[in-house]
Amino acid sequence: MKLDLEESNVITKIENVQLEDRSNSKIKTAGLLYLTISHLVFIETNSKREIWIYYSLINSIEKLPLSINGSPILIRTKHFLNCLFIISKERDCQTLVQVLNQYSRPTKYHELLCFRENSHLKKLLDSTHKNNQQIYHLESEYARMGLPNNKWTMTNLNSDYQICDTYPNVLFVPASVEDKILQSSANFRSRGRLPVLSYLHPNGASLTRCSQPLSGFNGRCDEDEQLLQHILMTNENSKFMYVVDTRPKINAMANKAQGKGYENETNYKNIQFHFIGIENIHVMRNSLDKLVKCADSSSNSSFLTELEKTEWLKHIKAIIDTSVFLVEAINDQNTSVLVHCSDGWDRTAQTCALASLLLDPYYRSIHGFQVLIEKEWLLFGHKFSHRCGHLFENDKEISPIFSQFLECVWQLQLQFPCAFEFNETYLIKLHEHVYSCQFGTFIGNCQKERNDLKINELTYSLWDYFQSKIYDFINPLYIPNSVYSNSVLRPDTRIFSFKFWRSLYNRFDSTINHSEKLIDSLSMLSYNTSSLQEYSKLLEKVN
Amino acid sequence: MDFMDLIEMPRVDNVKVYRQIQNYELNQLVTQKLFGSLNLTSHHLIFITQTDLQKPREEIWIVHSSIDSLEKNVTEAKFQLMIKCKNFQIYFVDFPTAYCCNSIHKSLESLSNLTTENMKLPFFCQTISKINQEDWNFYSIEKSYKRFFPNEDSSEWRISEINNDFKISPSYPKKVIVPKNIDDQALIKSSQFRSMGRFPILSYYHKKTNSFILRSSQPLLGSNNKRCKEDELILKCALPKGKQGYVYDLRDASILKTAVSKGGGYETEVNYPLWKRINKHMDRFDQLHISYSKLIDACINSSTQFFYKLDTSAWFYNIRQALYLSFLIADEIHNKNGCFLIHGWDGLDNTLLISSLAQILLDPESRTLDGFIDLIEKEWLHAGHPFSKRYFKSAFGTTPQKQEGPVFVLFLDCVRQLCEQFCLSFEFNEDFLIMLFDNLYTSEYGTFLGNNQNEREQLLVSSRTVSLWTYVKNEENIKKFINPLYKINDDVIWPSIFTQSLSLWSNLFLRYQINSKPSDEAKKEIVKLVETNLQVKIKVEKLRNDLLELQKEAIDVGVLNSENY
Repeated sequence: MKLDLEESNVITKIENVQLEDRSNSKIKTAGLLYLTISHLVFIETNSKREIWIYYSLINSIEKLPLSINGSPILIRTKHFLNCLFIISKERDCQTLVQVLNQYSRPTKYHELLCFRENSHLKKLLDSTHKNNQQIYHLESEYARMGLPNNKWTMTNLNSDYQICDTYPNVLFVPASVEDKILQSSANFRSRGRLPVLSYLHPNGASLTRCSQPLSGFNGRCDEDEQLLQHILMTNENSKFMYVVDTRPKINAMANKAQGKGYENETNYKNIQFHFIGIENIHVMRNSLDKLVKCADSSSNSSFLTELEKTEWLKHIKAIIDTSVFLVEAINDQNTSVLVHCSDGWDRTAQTCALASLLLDPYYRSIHGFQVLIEKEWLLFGHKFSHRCGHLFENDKEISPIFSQFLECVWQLQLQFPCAFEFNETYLIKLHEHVYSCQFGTFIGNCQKERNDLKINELTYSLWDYFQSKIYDFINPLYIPNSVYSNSVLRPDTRIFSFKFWRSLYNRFDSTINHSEKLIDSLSMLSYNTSSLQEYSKLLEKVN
Repeated sequence: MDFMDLIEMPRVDNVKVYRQIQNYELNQLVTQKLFGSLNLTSHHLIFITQTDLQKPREEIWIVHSSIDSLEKNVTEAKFQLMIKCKNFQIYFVDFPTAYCCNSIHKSLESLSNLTTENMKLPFFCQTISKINQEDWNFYSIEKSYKRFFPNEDSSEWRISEINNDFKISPSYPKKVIVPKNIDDQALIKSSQFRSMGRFPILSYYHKKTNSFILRSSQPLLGSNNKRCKEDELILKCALPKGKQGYVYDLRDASILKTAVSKGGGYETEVNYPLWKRINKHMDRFDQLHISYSKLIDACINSSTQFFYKLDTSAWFYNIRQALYLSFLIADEIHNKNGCFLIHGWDGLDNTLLISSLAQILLDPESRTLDGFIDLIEKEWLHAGHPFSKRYFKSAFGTTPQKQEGPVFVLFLDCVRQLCEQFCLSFEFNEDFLIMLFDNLYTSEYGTFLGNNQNEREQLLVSSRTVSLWTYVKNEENIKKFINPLYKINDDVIWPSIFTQSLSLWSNLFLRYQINSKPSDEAKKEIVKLVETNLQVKIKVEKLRNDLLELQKEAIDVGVLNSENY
């Protein structure tokens, strides 16, 4: 988003700054740094090239050992821009660090960018209207799946978030089940996240999600067991159902000691229990840290070995493998699956969303994909603010769970270039704005919190912004009716199918990215074709 | 010798063949099991499935020369032969008895290792299409000369026919381009001072800056420090005023002493004062063969530590190094004042790799289909790259002589990396490169036979076999090889050489493992997009003309006032 420096409130200016080229430390460009209330701005003296960095996107500020040129300071952003500034005066450097620390991690929601006046977005989006954020109603999405029907019904039991404050206020549950059972099951599940419907496949097999049971070593809950039976009974095509715990078994065992744990197969009738083994948020956070360093290292003669050591692609593979397991159970074996992890808002969100995307072509359209994110991530309480570190809170809560989901989708785009209506740019921009805090869409940790913050009234929606730029995001190769876009996707999950996402992790390194981008030229071509078509219509009229 | 002498058992029944095939519906690799009979002919191993009412008869044809290695696994209960092909396909064959297994194994070992050029497949395939002399003469040195020097009179270079009988340098072509004021006698002297007689000749002339690339083999300095005045003179005369000469020696500096002790050497500063020597390491063809085997092994057994295995194969190291060195050369030639002499040991392998890659970066012509074929002819076939020796074995096989090494495969991979980074600037596509790969190891066409022009002439290749270019230029085939997005790009292209910017050539190295259908679908869609765009353009053009006609008419009859238009 291009802004004018004069319009922005400049707090201070730092002179004699050098920006070091990340791929060649010998190349340095001189310039000026401006600190505004929202941005760090670097302006090159010679070329007048400008780099604007939102404070909200700053991930880390690292002072490196003093060099002869001055104090080097490495700034890494959440969207993978790495800038090494060398500041000649030590005092300026201290000012910089101080301002950045103050502004980049506010402590209160209302200090975030999205709650501020934004003339640019106002011009762009007010012509439409401000809160188009209700693009998604849970009811209408379930109606698309043919619900409610005689098997599944909507319940208002959570209308005031009374049984689970991180769930949406409407839930879909088996029609045959009584409120009492739901209530008890919620009490038996971590944070009240009882089993509810995520996705219903046309063959009657369902995908349900929840958190871990509070079973400890031998606790059980009759009503919870009954609820699973009711879920099982909604599908006439199978005599059993799967319960998938997406955690490694050892993690689940450790949870037992804290009074949590997993379902005991002998207590629940006709279930098949599976551990899958996706690692936890801390492992994922560390893996990304390594990946970022690996992508950034300028003399990367052993890049592939370093990549292997990050284990990042192994984690991505684990998520897709799990989703494929869900797809095979639901589509091929006509068998319902209940998925959970610990609290059911990280790994569960990843795998349920991906499985839905693989099962139902609708979710591969632009609109469907937004619906999927609204449903599985926003409404079912993925803690975006905690996981993205929107505020200055506990760093141990930060983890790239949603980013991993976006990367999984990108890996699928690579394997099925014609199956998605949206392109890679869409995913990259989405990734950026989940962190940028310019839009209210991803602020807060659940629906209840967003309601309390009046997100819909006070902020702009990312989806509206995307709608205004939709032509940038359309995949010109999308074939809505092809074999691959019209049916269940079956990705190859052997390790060589997974690629390093250069255009994201090296997004701003022009020397690493390809000079002629296929997707750009195809988009240009389609755009050219459609404007020529317009023109020819006009000419036909005149003739 | 007759082929039939090598075939003890022309047919074995009750054979089981296993191969991995892709189940497109499940997007999974499955093992296909077939029952039937095995037949040996002079050039093929043909497996025919038993006739079955449910299934149509299937045939698998394997050319003997496409077999890279054979592994026999005979136990008391199992008589199995594993056939690994040069294109990475693998078959398992179960025989009914140990005797048949041994017999077929023995025959295939001989048939797949025939070294006699005359017995190779192209000589038995004249019927595939008519031999077209024009295609054999598609490239000529005069063509290159004309391109480099449109005005012959002002050129400082000439074509010498000193090697017309292949006596001076058996691996050089008949005609070469050399500095104008160097006479043939000096060339003879220089050839005696260079390994395999490969004296410095012009490889590429960059018109935009008047800089150039020469190539040769190493000088034969030897431990008594020989020198050759004529050789020194060639380099001195070649270099115009104001230019800096660089000798790019593609060997590590640490190895030069060994080279000298074996009679070889390098250009000393004292004797070649205008030329600066730079040593840049490239893995030799035999090391590259090991790298290639490791790469393919990583691709086939990829379950654990895949990226680590890729890294340790050093294949990407070699790609980066090759692209990096050609980048440096292109940069000097185009942006600075550098002129180059490139060589390594004999100038048969890496020298050709680097000089041809530099040309692809520098010369837009070499990025067209015809220009690329010219480049292969000039820098590989005429330059004496020993195709017959280097591609006798692929990633699974070896010979005791250790002459195999996939330098041209590395070249194709580097070009593919460039095609990927510059998806608009190449007229040909990836399928063209894969087709070249396939014909490199085993072919019905004679183009890659022999080790140099001399051998090809002796074999009468051009009158006895069909040229690969005849196949390429066929109207039906050529369509498959054209990049629909190609637009002429007159600039030098500057590739990225970070490992992140490179990719594994999955459509080649993983060809029998991945499902190519979704990407084929995408390719078709791209063609469709381009065609639609073209049609709309034509339509708009026509409508505009119609409109102009109408306006003209209207003005003529006075309905419209011409001043308004």
